[in-house]
Amino acid sequence: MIIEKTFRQKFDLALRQTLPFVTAFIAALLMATQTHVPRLNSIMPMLSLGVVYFWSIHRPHLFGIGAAFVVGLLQDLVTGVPLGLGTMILLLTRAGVATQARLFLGKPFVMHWWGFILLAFAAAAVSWLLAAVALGVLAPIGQVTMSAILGIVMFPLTFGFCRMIERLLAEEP
Amino acid sequence: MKGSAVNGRWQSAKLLLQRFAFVMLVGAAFALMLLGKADTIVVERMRTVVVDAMAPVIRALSQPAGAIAEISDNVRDLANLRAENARLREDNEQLLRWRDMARKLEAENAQFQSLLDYVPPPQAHSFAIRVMGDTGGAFAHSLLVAAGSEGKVMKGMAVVSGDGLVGRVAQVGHRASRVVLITDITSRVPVVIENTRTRAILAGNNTEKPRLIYLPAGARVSPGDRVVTSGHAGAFPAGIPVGVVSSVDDQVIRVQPFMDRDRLEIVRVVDYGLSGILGSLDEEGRAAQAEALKAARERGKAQRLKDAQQPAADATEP
Repeated sequence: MIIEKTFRQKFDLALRQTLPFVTAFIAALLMATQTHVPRLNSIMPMLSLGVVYFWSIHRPHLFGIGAAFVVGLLQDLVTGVPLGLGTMILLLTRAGVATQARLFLGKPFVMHWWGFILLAFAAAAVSWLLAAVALGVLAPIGQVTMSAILGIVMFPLTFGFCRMIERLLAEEP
Repeated sequence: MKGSAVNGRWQSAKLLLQRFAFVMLVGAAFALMLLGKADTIVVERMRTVVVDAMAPVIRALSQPAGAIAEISDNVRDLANLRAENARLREDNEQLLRWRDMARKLEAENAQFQSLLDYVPPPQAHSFAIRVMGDTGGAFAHSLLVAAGSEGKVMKGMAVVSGDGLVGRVAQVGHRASRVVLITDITSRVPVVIENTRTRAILAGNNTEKPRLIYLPAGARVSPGDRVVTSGHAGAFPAGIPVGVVSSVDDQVIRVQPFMDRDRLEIVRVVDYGLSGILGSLDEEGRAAQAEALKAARERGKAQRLKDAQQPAADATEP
């Protein structure tokens, strides 16, 4: 028996399906806020990278490459870094991680964390190189590395938050 | 059977489309990087519009961190109350002595000014604004402040804190503006070493300690020397405290800025009525800049020629 969904149910579902994009969008804006933590204001953890990584594995159909592009562009515009830098990193992350999603699906959290460690350092290296090309000078590599390390340290929180959102997606409207 | 074939064709078409879209978007990201290098005005406008639109959200997201920082500051202040009180008493005694001396110098200065018919510089007016975001990380050092053209902020204005120079206003929207910090990799501030009056440029390098460059040959700089703005190039007025020289190596002189980036909550935007080096880059402005650059090059060429002739003339003198 086919049960027709009401308009409200359809609207509710559509709204929930935007949640992956909304979380990545907020993560990008969070990267432009003040942390007030001594010596941390100049080193922002890679929050949006963690969120894009999660959705590329768990809900790639709800977070496409277009969404990664928009979030990256927003991040670049708001944080004032060379334009295209975050866009490229998030775009490559979305495309690369989605193809390897089966390695992580159904695996324990530690496996996800290991994957993110590799990704964060790779993203730090690529963004450092791209920034060197865009700025014409070498940015301090220590800060880029610290940014990756902070992202890795904060990944359990990012993962937990995204997992919570994912449960909302799974619930029947 | 026929249905599955159609389905398969649809799937492969979808995959092809996705790959094409990916290649297109990577190309677009590269194009954005080139655009950022080639047309800074378009990029600047894009940034201004987006920051303006996102300002309320960024402000809302900043509030929890701000509240936590305030509570931890209060706790820390309470713990240090006794020591702080002793330090303030000592400071007060010292400041009272300074006040007497300043009064005496002020009266003396007024007398000299009237004797010389001195024309004082225009009075600066300033206003305080709240910092709502600290952006950029390793690749850019800037602040987002919660005031724009509606709040009379203008591009090129100096931004100071109670400690010293913070940076300059680089982009102005309606409700928010971006301040490029003196530590940013693109920042160049004309400065002087306070006691020796040696001119230099403070060049940001995206670390907490910017460098001094373009010092004259034989300049003497030691750790602990105070660095203030020189007022050259019309970018900042003279005498704003910038920082102290923290280390002097063979190649690099580093400066520890007075401003404490981690504690910047309210900053003061100061309008000194200077057009600065950041005036709007319209056609007229560009032409004027090109003219000025040409004139400066010619002056430099003449100076080099003069310098080259000088040793020869010195050598012929008995």
